[in-house]
Amino acid sequence: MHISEGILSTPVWVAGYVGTAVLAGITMRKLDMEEVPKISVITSVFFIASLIKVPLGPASIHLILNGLVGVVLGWRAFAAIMLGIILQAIIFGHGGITVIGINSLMLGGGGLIAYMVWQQRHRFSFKKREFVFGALAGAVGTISSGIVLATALITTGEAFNAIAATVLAAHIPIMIIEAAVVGASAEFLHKTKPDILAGRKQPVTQG
Amino acid sequence: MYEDFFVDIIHGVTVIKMSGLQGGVLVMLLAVTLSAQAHKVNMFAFVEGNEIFVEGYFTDGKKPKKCEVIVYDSSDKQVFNGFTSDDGQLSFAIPTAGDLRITLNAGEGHMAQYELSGDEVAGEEVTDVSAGNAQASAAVKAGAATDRESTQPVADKELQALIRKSVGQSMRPVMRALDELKERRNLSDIIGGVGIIMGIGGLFLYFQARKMSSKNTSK
Repeated sequence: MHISEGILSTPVWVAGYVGTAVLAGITMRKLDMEEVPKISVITSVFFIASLIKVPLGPASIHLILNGLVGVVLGWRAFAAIMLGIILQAIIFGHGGITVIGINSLMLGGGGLIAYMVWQQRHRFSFKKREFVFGALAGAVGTISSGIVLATALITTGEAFNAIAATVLAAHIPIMIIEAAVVGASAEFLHKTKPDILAGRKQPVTQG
Repeated sequence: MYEDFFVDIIHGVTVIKMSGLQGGVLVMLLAVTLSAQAHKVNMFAFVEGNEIFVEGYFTDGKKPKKCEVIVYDSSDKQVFNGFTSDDGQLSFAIPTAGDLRITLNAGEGHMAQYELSGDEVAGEEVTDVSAGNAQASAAVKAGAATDRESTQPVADKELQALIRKSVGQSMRPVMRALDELKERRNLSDIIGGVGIIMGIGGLFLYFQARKMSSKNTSK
Protein backbone atom coordinates (compact mmCIF):
# COMPACT_ATOMS: atom_id res chain seq x y z
CA MET A 1 0.00 0.00 0.00
CA HIS A 2 2.17 2.72 -1.32
CA ILE A 3 1.50 5.37 -3.88
CA SER A 4 4.01 5.13 -6.70
CA GLU A 5 6.07 7.97 -8.01
CA GLY A 6 4.83 9.91 -11.00
CA ILE A 7 1.11 9.62 -10.36
CA LEU A 8 0.38 12.56 -8.12
CA SER A 9 0.62 16.13 -9.24
CA THR A 10 3.31 18.30 -7.69
CA PRO A 11 1.05 20.28 -5.31
CA VAL A 12 -0.30 17.03 -3.87
CA TRP A 13 3.02 15.44 -3.04
CA VAL A 14 4.40 18.75 -1.78
CA ALA A 15 1.36 19.00 0.48
CA GLY A 16 2.18 15.45 1.62
CA TYR A 17 5.66 16.58 2.68
CA VAL A 18 4.29 19.62 4.49
CA GLY A 19 1.68 17.56 6.34
CA THR A 20 4.27 14.97 7.26
CA ALA A 21 6.70 17.58 8.56
CA VAL A 22 4.00 19.16 10.73
CA LEU A 23 2.76 15.86 12.15
CA ALA A 24 6.28 14.55 12.74
CA GLY A 25 7.18 17.80 14.50
CA ILE A 26 4.15 17.66 16.78
CA THR A 27 4.31 13.97 17.62
CA MET A 28 8.04 13.88 18.31
CA ARG A 29 8.12 16.69 20.85
CA LYS A 30 9.84 15.95 24.15
CA LEU A 31 11.06 12.54 23.19
CA ASP A 32 12.24 10.55 26.15
CA MET A 33 15.49 8.62 25.81
CA GLU A 34 13.89 5.50 27.19
CA GLU A 35 11.42 5.40 24.35
CA VAL A 36 14.08 5.24 21.67
CA PRO A 37 14.92 1.50 21.72
CA LYS A 38 11.25 0.60 21.65
CA ILE A 39 10.65 2.93 18.72
CA SER A 40 13.60 1.41 16.87
CA VAL A 41 12.34 -2.13 17.33
CA ILE A 42 8.79 -1.32 16.26
CA THR A 43 10.07 0.65 13.28
CA SER A 44 11.98 -2.45 12.21
CA VAL A 45 8.84 -4.57 12.56
CA PHE A 46 6.91 -2.15 10.38
CA PHE A 47 9.76 -1.94 7.88
CA ILE A 48 9.92 -5.70 7.48
CA ALA A 49 6.19 -6.43 7.62
CA SER A 50 5.38 -4.93 4.25
CA LEU A 51 8.22 -6.83 2.59
CA ILE A 52 6.88 -10.24 3.54
CA LYS A 53 4.11 -11.45 1.33
CA VAL A 54 1.58 -13.93 2.52
CA PRO A 55 -0.23 -16.02 -0.09
CA LEU A 56 -3.98 -15.73 0.15
CA GLY A 57 -5.94 -17.71 -2.38
CA PRO A 58 -4.92 -16.76 -5.89
CA ALA A 59 -3.29 -13.50 -4.85
CA SER A 60 -1.02 -12.56 -2.01
CA ILE A 61 -1.03 -9.72 0.42
CA HIS A 62 1.39 -8.16 2.82
CA LEU A 63 0.68 -6.82 6.25
CA ILE A 64 0.81 -3.10 6.82
CA LEU A 65 0.83 -3.12 10.63
CA ASN A 66 0.47 0.63 10.98
CA GLY A 67 -2.30 -0.10 13.49
CA LEU A 68 0.10 -2.19 15.58
CA VAL A 69 2.66 0.60 15.52
CA GLY A 70 -0.04 2.95 16.81
CA VAL A 71 -1.07 0.55 19.57
CA VAL A 72 2.50 0.11 20.79
CA LEU A 73 4.02 3.53 20.20
CA GLY A 74 1.09 5.91 20.57
CA TRP A 75 1.87 9.36 19.15
CA ARG A 76 5.40 8.26 18.36
CA ALA A 77 3.95 5.94 15.72
CA PHE A 78 4.07 8.64 13.11
CA ALA A 79 7.82 9.12 13.15
CA ALA A 80 8.41 5.38 13.26
CA ILE A 81 6.25 4.80 10.20
CA MET A 82 7.84 7.74 8.43
CA LEU A 83 11.33 6.33 8.99
CA GLY A 84 10.17 2.91 7.81
CA ILE A 85 8.76 4.45 4.63
CA ILE A 86 11.89 6.48 3.95
CA LEU A 87 14.00 3.33 4.16
CA GLN A 88 11.58 1.29 2.07
CA ALA A 89 11.71 3.99 -0.59
CA ILE A 90 15.51 4.26 -0.56
CA ILE A 91 16.41 0.59 -0.28
CA PHE A 92 13.59 -1.10 -2.15
CA GLY A 93 12.14 1.58 -4.39
CA HIS A 94 8.87 0.99 -2.60
CA GLY A 95 6.81 4.04 -3.54
CA GLY A 96 9.45 6.63 -4.36
CA ILE A 97 11.33 9.64 -3.09
CA THR A 98 8.82 12.34 -4.01
CA VAL A 99 5.95 10.40 -2.46
CA ILE A 100 7.62 9.75 0.92
CA GLY A 101 5.57 12.62 2.33
CA ILE A 102 2.18 11.50 1.14
CA ASN A 103 2.90 7.84 1.96
CA SER A 104 3.97 8.78 5.48
CA LEU A 105 0.85 10.84 5.87
CA MET A 106 -1.26 7.96 4.62
CA LEU A 107 0.21 5.17 6.77
CA GLY A 108 1.43 7.27 9.69
CA GLY A 109 -1.89 9.07 9.90
CA GLY A 110 -3.59 5.68 9.98
CA GLY A 111 -1.29 4.71 12.86
CA LEU A 112 -2.28 7.81 14.83
CA ILE A 113 -5.98 7.18 14.28
CA ALA A 114 -5.47 3.56 15.32
CA TYR A 115 -3.93 4.81 18.56
CA MET A 116 -6.94 7.05 19.21
CA VAL A 117 -9.22 4.05 18.73
CA TRP A 118 -7.00 1.94 20.99
CA GLN A 119 -7.29 4.54 23.74
CA GLN A 120 -11.08 4.20 23.79
CA ARG A 121 -10.63 0.83 25.54
CA HIS A 122 -10.36 2.63 28.88
CA ARG A 123 -14.05 3.43 28.65
CA PHE A 124 -14.93 -0.25 28.77
CA SER A 125 -14.12 -3.20 30.94
CA PHE A 126 -14.73 -6.65 29.63
CA LYS A 127 -12.63 -9.73 29.35
CA LYS A 128 -11.21 -9.59 25.84
CA ARG A 129 -10.91 -5.81 25.86
CA GLU A 130 -7.34 -5.70 24.57
CA PHE A 131 -8.09 -8.09 21.75
CA VAL A 132 -11.23 -6.27 20.65
CA PHE A 133 -9.68 -2.82 20.72
CA GLY A 134 -6.44 -4.04 19.20
CA ALA A 135 -8.44 -5.55 16.35
CA LEU A 136 -10.46 -2.35 15.95
CA ALA A 137 -7.26 -0.33 15.90
CA GLY A 138 -5.80 -2.62 13.24
CA ALA A 139 -8.90 -2.34 11.07
CA VAL A 140 -9.21 1.42 11.49
CA GLY A 141 -5.50 1.90 10.77
CA THR A 142 -5.89 0.11 7.46
CA ILE A 143 -9.12 1.72 6.42
CA SER A 144 -8.13 5.28 7.27
CA SER A 145 -5.00 4.81 5.18
CA GLY A 146 -7.25 3.58 2.41
CA ILE A 147 -9.29 6.75 2.70
CA VAL A 148 -6.19 8.94 2.44
CA LEU A 149 -5.10 6.89 -0.57
CA ALA A 150 -8.46 7.33 -2.28
CA THR A 151 -8.43 11.06 -1.52
CA ALA A 152 -4.94 11.46 -2.96
CA LEU A 153 -5.94 9.58 -6.09
CA ILE A 154 -9.06 11.66 -6.61
CA THR A 155 -6.83 14.71 -6.96
CA THR A 156 -5.20 12.99 -9.94
CA GLY A 157 -8.56 12.87 -11.67
CA GLU A 158 -9.62 9.30 -10.98
CA ALA A 159 -13.38 9.25 -10.63
CA PHE A 160 -14.48 9.23 -7.01
CA ASN A 161 -16.95 6.35 -7.08
CA ALA A 162 -14.72 4.04 -9.07
CA ILE A 163 -11.63 4.64 -6.98
CA ALA A 164 -13.44 4.51 -3.65
CA ALA A 165 -14.98 1.18 -4.59
CA THR A 166 -11.79 -0.45 -5.82
CA VAL A 167 -9.69 0.82 -2.93
CA LEU A 168 -12.28 -0.34 -0.43
CA ALA A 169 -12.61 -3.75 -2.08
CA ALA A 170 -8.86 -4.19 -2.13
CA HIS A 171 -8.54 -3.29 1.53
CA ILE A 172 -11.28 -5.40 3.04
CA PRO A 173 -9.26 -8.66 3.17
CA ILE A 174 -6.20 -6.74 4.39
CA MET A 175 -8.36 -5.03 7.01
CA ILE A 176 -9.66 -8.34 8.36
CA ILE A 177 -6.19 -9.88 8.54
CA GLU A 178 -4.72 -6.75 10.11
CA ALA A 179 -7.49 -6.77 12.68
CA ALA A 180 -6.75 -10.37 13.60
CA VAL A 181 -2.98 -9.84 13.78
CA VAL A 182 -3.10 -6.57 15.71
CA GLY A 183 -5.79 -7.90 18.05
CA ALA A 184 -3.81 -11.05 18.83
CA SER A 185 -0.60 -9.07 19.25
CA ALA A 186 -2.24 -6.55 21.57
CA GLU A 187 -3.70 -9.29 23.74
CA PHE A 188 -0.43 -11.18 23.79
CA LEU A 189 1.55 -8.10 24.75
CA HIS A 190 -1.03 -7.20 27.35
CA LYS A 191 -0.54 -10.60 28.99
CA THR A 192 3.22 -10.84 28.72
CA LYS A 193 4.54 -7.32 28.82
CA PRO A 194 1.72 -4.85 29.38
CA ASP A 195 3.99 -1.83 29.88
CA ILE A 196 5.13 -2.01 26.26
CA LEU A 197 1.68 -0.96 25.04
CA ALA A 198 0.91 2.69 24.49
CA GLY A 199 -1.50 4.69 26.64
CA ARG A 200 -1.85 2.54 29.73
CA LYS A 201 -4.15 3.10 32.73
CA GLN A 202 -3.34 6.75 33.30
CA PRO A 203 -2.83 8.22 29.85
CA VAL A 204 0.07 10.40 30.93
CA THR A 205 1.44 12.68 28.30
CA GLN A 206 5.13 12.03 28.17
CA GLY A 207 7.42 14.64 29.73
CA MET B 1 0.05 -6.99 39.33
CA TYR B 2 -0.58 -10.59 40.33
CA GLU B 3 -2.06 -11.39 43.73
CA ASP B 4 0.05 -14.39 44.54
CA PHE B 5 2.56 -16.80 43.27
CA PHE B 6 0.08 -19.41 41.97
CA VAL B 7 -1.82 -16.97 39.87
CA ASP B 8 1.53 -15.99 38.49
CA ILE B 9 2.26 -19.57 37.50
CA ILE B 10 -1.15 -19.96 35.84
CA HIS B 11 -0.53 -16.80 33.91
CA GLY B 12 2.86 -18.10 32.98
CA VAL B 13 1.33 -21.26 31.53
CA THR B 14 -1.22 -19.36 29.47
CA VAL B 15 1.56 -17.12 28.25
CA ILE B 16 3.58 -20.12 27.11
CA LYS B 17 0.54 -21.49 25.27
CA MET B 18 -0.01 -18.16 23.61
CA SER B 19 3.59 -17.86 22.57
CA GLY B 20 3.40 -21.32 21.01
CA LEU B 21 0.55 -20.12 18.85
CA GLN B 22 2.29 -16.87 18.05
CA GLY B 23 5.46 -18.78 17.27
CA GLY B 24 3.48 -20.87 14.79
CA VAL B 25 2.24 -17.75 13.08
CA LEU B 26 5.76 -16.36 12.97
CA VAL B 27 7.15 -19.55 11.45
CA MET B 28 4.34 -19.47 8.89
CA LEU B 29 5.23 -15.92 8.00
CA LEU B 30 8.90 -16.70 7.68
CA ALA B 31 8.24 -19.82 5.60
CA VAL B 32 6.79 -17.51 3.02
CA THR B 33 9.38 -16.26 0.60
CA LEU B 34 10.97 -12.97 1.41
CA SER B 35 11.27 -12.20 -2.26
CA ALA B 36 9.04 -9.23 -2.87
CA GLN B 37 6.17 -7.18 -1.69
CA ALA B 38 2.85 -8.11 -3.12
CA HIS B 39 1.26 -5.27 -4.91
CA LYS B 40 3.99 -3.49 -6.67
CA VAL B 41 3.70 -3.28 -10.41
CA ASN B 42 6.85 -3.62 -12.46
CA MET B 43 7.45 -3.26 -16.13
CA PHE B 44 10.10 -3.55 -18.74
CA ALA B 45 10.28 -2.54 -22.36
CA PHE B 46 12.59 -3.08 -25.25
CA VAL B 47 12.82 -2.52 -28.96
CA GLU B 48 11.78 -5.42 -31.14
CA GLY B 49 12.28 -4.67 -34.82
CA ASN B 50 10.27 -1.56 -35.52
CA GLU B 51 8.14 -2.00 -32.48
CA ILE B 52 8.46 -1.45 -28.78
CA PHE B 53 7.41 -4.32 -26.62
CA VAL B 54 6.13 -3.54 -23.14
CA GLU B 55 5.28 -6.02 -20.46
CA GLY B 56 4.04 -5.29 -16.98
CA TYR B 57 3.57 -7.66 -14.08
CA PHE B 58 2.71 -7.47 -10.43
CA THR B 59 5.28 -8.90 -8.09
CA ASP B 60 2.84 -11.62 -7.08
CA GLY B 61 2.64 -12.81 -10.69
CA LYS B 62 -0.65 -11.25 -11.70
CA LYS B 63 -0.82 -9.31 -14.95
CA PRO B 64 -1.94 -5.70 -15.25
CA LYS B 65 -4.83 -6.13 -17.68
CA LYS B 66 -6.20 -3.27 -19.75
CA CYS B 67 -3.91 -0.78 -18.09
CA GLU B 68 -2.94 2.42 -19.79
CA VAL B 69 0.54 2.68 -21.24
CA ILE B 70 1.75 6.18 -22.03
CA VAL B 71 4.98 7.01 -23.82
CA TYR B 72 6.67 10.36 -23.41
CA ASP B 73 9.54 11.71 -25.46
CA SER B 74 12.59 13.48 -24.07
CA SER B 75 10.68 16.78 -23.77
CA ASP B 76 7.94 15.04 -21.75
CA LYS B 77 5.44 15.29 -24.54
CA GLN B 78 3.04 12.39 -24.82
CA VAL B 79 3.76 10.55 -28.07
CA PHE B 80 1.75 7.37 -27.65
CA ASN B 81 -0.88 5.81 -25.47
CA GLY B 82 -2.47 2.40 -25.51
CA PHE B 83 -3.74 -0.37 -23.26
CA THR B 84 -2.18 -3.68 -22.29
CA SER B 85 -3.67 -7.02 -23.27
CA ASP B 86 -4.90 -9.59 -20.76
CA ASP B 87 -1.30 -10.82 -20.52
CA GLY B 88 -0.15 -7.38 -19.47
CA GLN B 89 1.67 -6.93 -22.78
CA LEU B 90 1.61 -4.33 -25.50
CA SER B 91 3.52 -3.90 -28.74
CA PHE B 92 3.42 -0.71 -30.74
CA ALA B 93 5.39 0.98 -33.50
CA ILE B 94 8.21 3.23 -32.30
CA PRO B 95 6.55 6.65 -32.08
CA THR B 96 9.69 8.82 -32.29
CA ALA B 97 13.42 8.36 -32.10
CA GLY B 98 15.34 9.48 -29.04
CA ASP B 99 14.91 8.90 -25.32
CA LEU B 100 11.53 7.54 -24.38
CA ARG B 101 9.90 7.31 -21.00
CA ILE B 102 7.20 4.68 -20.75
CA THR B 103 4.71 4.56 -17.91
CA LEU B 104 2.22 1.89 -17.00
CA ASN B 105 -0.63 2.93 -14.73
CA ALA B 106 -2.19 -0.03 -12.94
CA GLY B 107 -4.60 2.10 -10.93
CA GLU B 108 -4.97 2.44 -7.14
CA GLY B 109 -1.74 4.36 -6.95
CA HIS B 110 0.35 1.73 -8.68
CA MET B 111 2.49 2.94 -11.50
CA ALA B 112 5.65 1.69 -13.11
CA GLN B 113 8.11 3.53 -15.29
CA TYR B 114 10.72 2.40 -17.72
CA GLU B 115 13.19 4.44 -19.67
CA LEU B 116 14.42 3.45 -23.08
CA SER B 117 17.59 5.24 -23.97
CA GLY B 118 17.97 7.02 -27.28
CA ASP B 119 20.54 4.64 -28.76
CA GLU B 120 18.33 1.63 -28.06
CA VAL B 121 15.55 3.27 -29.98
CA ALA B 122 17.76 4.86 -32.64
CA GLY B 123 19.30 1.48 -33.45
CA GLU B 124 16.21 0.83 -35.50
CA GLU B 125 15.15 2.73 -38.53
CA VAL B 126 11.87 4.24 -37.64
CA THR B 127 10.91 5.23 -41.16
CA ASP B 128 11.46 1.73 -42.43
CA VAL B 129 7.89 0.55 -42.08
CA SER B 130 7.47 -0.31 -45.71
CA ALA B 131 4.61 -2.44 -46.97
CA GLY B 132 6.85 -5.46 -47.33
CA ASN B 133 8.09 -5.06 -43.80
CA ALA B 134 4.63 -4.82 -42.39
CA GLN B 135 3.82 -7.98 -44.28
CA ALA B 136 6.91 -9.60 -42.82
CA SER B 137 5.98 -8.74 -39.29
CA ALA B 138 2.46 -10.01 -39.90
CA ALA B 139 3.94 -13.27 -41.10
CA VAL B 140 6.13 -13.46 -38.00
CA LYS B 141 3.13 -12.88 -35.83
CA ALA B 142 1.39 -15.78 -37.49
CA GLY B 143 4.39 -17.90 -36.65
CA ALA B 144 5.14 -18.50 -40.33
CA ALA B 145 8.54 -16.84 -40.45
CA THR B 146 10.38 -19.95 -41.59
CA ASP B 147 7.92 -20.77 -44.33
CA ARG B 148 8.29 -17.33 -45.69
CA GLU B 149 12.04 -17.58 -45.85
CA SER B 150 11.90 -20.66 -48.04
CA THR B 151 9.28 -19.37 -50.44
CA GLN B 152 10.55 -15.88 -51.11
CA PRO B 153 13.93 -14.21 -51.15
CA VAL B 154 14.10 -11.66 -48.41
CA ALA B 155 15.73 -8.30 -48.86
CA ASP B 156 18.60 -7.51 -46.52
CA LYS B 157 16.71 -4.87 -44.66
CA GLU B 158 13.72 -7.05 -44.18
CA LEU B 159 15.90 -9.90 -43.05
CA GLN B 160 17.55 -7.65 -40.50
CA ALA B 161 14.20 -6.52 -39.24
CA LEU B 162 13.06 -10.12 -39.00
CA ILE B 163 16.16 -11.15 -37.09
CA ARG B 164 15.79 -8.26 -34.71
CA LYS B 165 12.20 -9.14 -34.13
CA SER B 166 12.70 -12.82 -33.51
CA VAL B 167 15.75 -12.23 -31.34
CA GLY B 168 13.68 -9.70 -29.42
CA GLN B 169 10.93 -12.21 -28.93
CA SER B 170 13.25 -14.88 -27.61
CA MET B 171 14.78 -12.26 -25.34
CA ARG B 172 11.48 -11.65 -23.57
CA PRO B 173 11.92 -14.28 -20.85
CA VAL B 174 15.51 -13.21 -20.33
CA MET B 175 14.54 -9.56 -19.99
CA ARG B 176 11.83 -10.49 -17.61
CA ALA B 177 14.10 -12.64 -15.47
CA LEU B 178 16.64 -9.81 -15.39
CA ASP B 179 14.03 -7.32 -14.35
CA GLU B 180 12.72 -9.60 -11.64
CA LEU B 181 16.22 -10.13 -10.37
CA LYS B 182 16.75 -6.39 -10.21
CA GLU B 183 13.55 -5.96 -8.24
CA ARG B 184 14.20 -8.78 -5.83
CA ARG B 185 14.41 -7.95 -2.17
CA ASN B 186 17.36 -9.68 -0.66
CA LEU B 187 17.45 -10.80 2.91
CA SER B 188 20.66 -8.84 3.23
CA ASP B 189 18.84 -5.66 2.14
CA ILE B 190 16.18 -6.24 4.77
CA ILE B 191 18.74 -6.86 7.48
CA GLY B 192 20.63 -3.81 6.28
CA GLY B 193 17.49 -1.72 6.66
CA VAL B 194 16.93 -2.97 10.18
CA GLY B 195 20.55 -2.14 10.90
CA ILE B 196 20.02 1.42 9.71
CA ILE B 197 16.98 1.81 11.96
CA MET B 198 18.88 0.52 14.98
CA GLY B 199 21.80 2.74 14.04
CA ILE B 200 19.62 5.84 13.93
CA GLY B 201 18.19 4.92 17.35
CA GLY B 202 21.69 4.40 18.66
CA LEU B 203 22.95 7.70 17.31
CA PHE B 204 20.03 9.51 18.86
CA LEU B 205 20.73 7.92 22.23
CA TYR B 206 24.41 8.74 21.92
CA PHE B 207 23.77 12.44 21.42
CA GLN B 208 21.11 12.50 24.14
CA ALA B 209 23.51 10.82 26.53
CA ARG B 210 26.20 13.36 25.75
CA LYS B 211 23.76 16.18 26.34
CA MET B 212 22.76 14.65 29.64
CA SER B 213 26.29 14.04 30.86
CA SER B 214 27.34 17.59 29.97
CA LYS B 215 24.32 18.87 31.91
CA ASN B 216 25.31 16.73 34.88
CA THR B 217 28.88 17.95 34.91
CA SER B 218 27.81 21.59 34.66
CA LYS B 219 25.57 21.21 37.70
